[in-house]
Amino acid sequence: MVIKKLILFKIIVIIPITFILTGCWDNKELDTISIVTGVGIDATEDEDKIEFILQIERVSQHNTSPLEGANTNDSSIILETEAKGILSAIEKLQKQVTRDLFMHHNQAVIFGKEQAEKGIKPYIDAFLRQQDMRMETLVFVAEGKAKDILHNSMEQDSAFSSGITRMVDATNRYSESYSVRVLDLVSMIIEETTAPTIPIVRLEEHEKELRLLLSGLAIFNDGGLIGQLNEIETRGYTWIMDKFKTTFIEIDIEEGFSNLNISNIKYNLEPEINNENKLIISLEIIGDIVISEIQGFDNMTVKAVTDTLLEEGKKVINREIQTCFNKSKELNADFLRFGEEFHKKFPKQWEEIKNNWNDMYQEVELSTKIELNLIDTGKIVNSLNMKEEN
Amino acid sequence: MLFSYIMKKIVLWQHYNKEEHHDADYLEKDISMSLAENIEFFRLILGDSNDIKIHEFIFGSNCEFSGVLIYIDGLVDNLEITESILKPIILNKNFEENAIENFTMMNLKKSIICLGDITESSIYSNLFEGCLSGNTILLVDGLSTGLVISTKGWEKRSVTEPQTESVVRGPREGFTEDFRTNTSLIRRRIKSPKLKMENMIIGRKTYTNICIAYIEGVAKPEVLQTLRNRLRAIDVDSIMDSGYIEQYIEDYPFSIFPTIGYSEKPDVIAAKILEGRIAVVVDGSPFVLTVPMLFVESFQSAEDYYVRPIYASLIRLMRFFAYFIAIYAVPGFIALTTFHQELIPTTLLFTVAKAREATPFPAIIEALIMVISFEILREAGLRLPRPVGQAISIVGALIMGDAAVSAGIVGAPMVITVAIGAVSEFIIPDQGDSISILRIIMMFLASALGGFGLSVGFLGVLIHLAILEPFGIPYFASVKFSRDQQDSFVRLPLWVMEDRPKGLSYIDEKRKKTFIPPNGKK
Repeated sequence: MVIKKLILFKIIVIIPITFILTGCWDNKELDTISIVTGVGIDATEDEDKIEFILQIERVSQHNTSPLEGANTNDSSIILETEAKGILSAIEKLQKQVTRDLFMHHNQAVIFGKEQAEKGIKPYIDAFLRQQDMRMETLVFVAEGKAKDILHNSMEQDSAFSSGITRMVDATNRYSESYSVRVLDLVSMIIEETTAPTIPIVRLEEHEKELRLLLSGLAIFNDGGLIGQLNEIETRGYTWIMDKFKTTFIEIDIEEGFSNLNISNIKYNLEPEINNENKLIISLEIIGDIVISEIQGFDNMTVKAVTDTLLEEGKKVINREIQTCFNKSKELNADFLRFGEEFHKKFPKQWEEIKNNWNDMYQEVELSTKIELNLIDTGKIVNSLNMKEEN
Repeated sequence: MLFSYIMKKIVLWQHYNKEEHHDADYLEKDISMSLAENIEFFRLILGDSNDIKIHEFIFGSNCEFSGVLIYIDGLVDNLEITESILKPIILNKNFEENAIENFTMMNLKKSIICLGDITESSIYSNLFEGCLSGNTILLVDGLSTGLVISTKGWEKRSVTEPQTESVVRGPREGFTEDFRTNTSLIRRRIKSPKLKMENMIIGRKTYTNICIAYIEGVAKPEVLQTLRNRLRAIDVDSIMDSGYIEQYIEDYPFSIFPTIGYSEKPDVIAAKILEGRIAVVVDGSPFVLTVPMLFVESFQSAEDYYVRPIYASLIRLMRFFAYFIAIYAVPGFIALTTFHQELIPTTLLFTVAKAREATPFPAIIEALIMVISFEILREAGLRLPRPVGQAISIVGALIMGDAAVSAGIVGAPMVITVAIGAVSEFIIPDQGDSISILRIIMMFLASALGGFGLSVGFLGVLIHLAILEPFGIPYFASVKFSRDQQDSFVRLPLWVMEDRPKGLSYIDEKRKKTFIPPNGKK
């Protein structure tokens, strides 16, 4: 009996102890972590080193300790250091803060333009390798220095990082070109022929206040940044990559001005190799048009106006696509992922093609076929100064 | 395993300490022929308690007989004794000439006393028992038997709406403390001759009336036999409430889950009897027990069957959901904020982190402060008289909620989480005790092992639940038998539920013979 009681006692004591002693090892209370919300990487004068910037959410309102970085705005703290690698930079920064740096909630990685030109590939590695870095973090290239962007606060969202994610989410409702996440970037990098694209963020001055805006895409090759797409070229890119969900087509001709809303876009991209071994990409876009705005078009019948608008709409889209395609040939960077399309469709021929893709890319032809269907003219049929049809 | 070990130890210990003694042994003897002797014996046993009335009288054509009425004042209906016993006996002068020789109790019982429920007995213990439970004892000099005449009549609470299970729609009657009223309330709902009620008296000092009600052919005989055996085995001097019986007959006294159901509403009990369960009515308790209880029963409310099925199903699902919220809201919050910060949406994390900043304690201590003070407040609110109870709710709402946050003892998100958990608990009153206990266990698991601990805890509870088999019926029967799904997570229309629950019912499985939708279309 005594022995059995002893065993019982032991069981009762040991079970809770195994829980309590083995548990808790990765227990982190919320007040022991610094939530990192943004990461910036800038070039330094030293060729080997980078300037690493962290944006940390300011949790405590009362704490204005000078220890946690001198450069502060309302809601976040900026830390910066120079180091060779990302992890060594984080380790250095860890010594500057009172709490554990918590990377899971990092919203954005921003490369300064200078660093982008030097190359970004080596630094993406750390973001893939580490457990606490997320693949769905957004990636940007800053026009200028990443540090300046992280310092700037937005009007509605005081921290850059939460603002930029909302901004990208908002644009995603129309076009997905501006949302490039670490995972997307990596898949573009590992594809043999594709030139990665990263959206550009830029600061613009508005009455002494700096505003952040997304402007175009940065094109990379293996080495680094090689060019930028402007607004029109970015639209072309978006058409070719099927990233538009809905958009407006602006038509500005002699007769008048109009905005067409295109939605329900159907898209088909077919790579072909013809008899002369020529590479052809045929792109087909079908969309539903709603007339959203009309100015001018005086003394024309409704039928004539709609016909003109559809015709012009096709031209506009075509122009945007061709501009973009020309740019890509000019840079000789296959950021439109045509190489991948051939790879998928003609895996056997691809073995030959890929070796001299750089030369062949210049020969690729793009044929477009655009079809627009007018489904609605909005709440009113005629423009205010259009003739009644009779 | 551990529990059964402890259980075995306790049973053994009780066995060693059991002392053999029987109170009533000395009453198990025949009554005397002499009236004086009998009265003397009654006086000796009952003492000079002033509520015991011993009324001697003489009767017969020439007052040749002497008799005595023994009853307890307050338990009997005085008017009935005067009108139906004393008056007919004393005023009757038409006894036969040779009455003294041939006179038996039968004469009195059959032709003189104007009451229905009379038993004849010659053993003291029966007489005492009858007397003490509100009957009147009639003894006549020279006869070796006495009559126990039912004259029960005492002050009792009327049938009112039950406090614990209020409904918006459906019957509002509730059981009372009176045994007969309770059995009659059941009988009134099930008029079938197959409704059987077996009586039993338990309690060496309290002599509490207990009745098992079931429908023959629907209730499983094995369950019935087990219940009978367990009730018979109860050897205790007092039964104060059906809660006593529950604790003496349950299969798993150390489980935190109740395995015997109870209700205060006759319609609920009747419905359960009709499903094949057995009800146990205990004198003096407005709560009637039902065995066996299934897990899903806690989530079924009487009103589910009185409102239309779609809404009833929604509410049913809501209850299951609320059960999880009640247990896991606080532990989940602890696990998320101390182990899995990466799972919290970023904006929410900022808010929670800002709230944590002002508070000094780790999450588990914070949660314990709130949960324990909530339990204290609830208990205080329950026990206090109504008018003072309001003061408690003010203290609870204002001091605990608001002041604790602004004083920086707990964070606002924690207060919200505890409050959600607490409110959800009230949806499932039957599982209230298991929720409170599980919540605290899970809180410790979450604070030590995070999400992993929660999963371990959840699986542990699930395994435990799956093992339970009260009265041989699996606690999870409604999950086990696909047929019983019709009334577990959702409640199908009544006209679809043709069969009684599979685990419970015996021969008479069908509720109705044919499948007829309400509009008559097949």
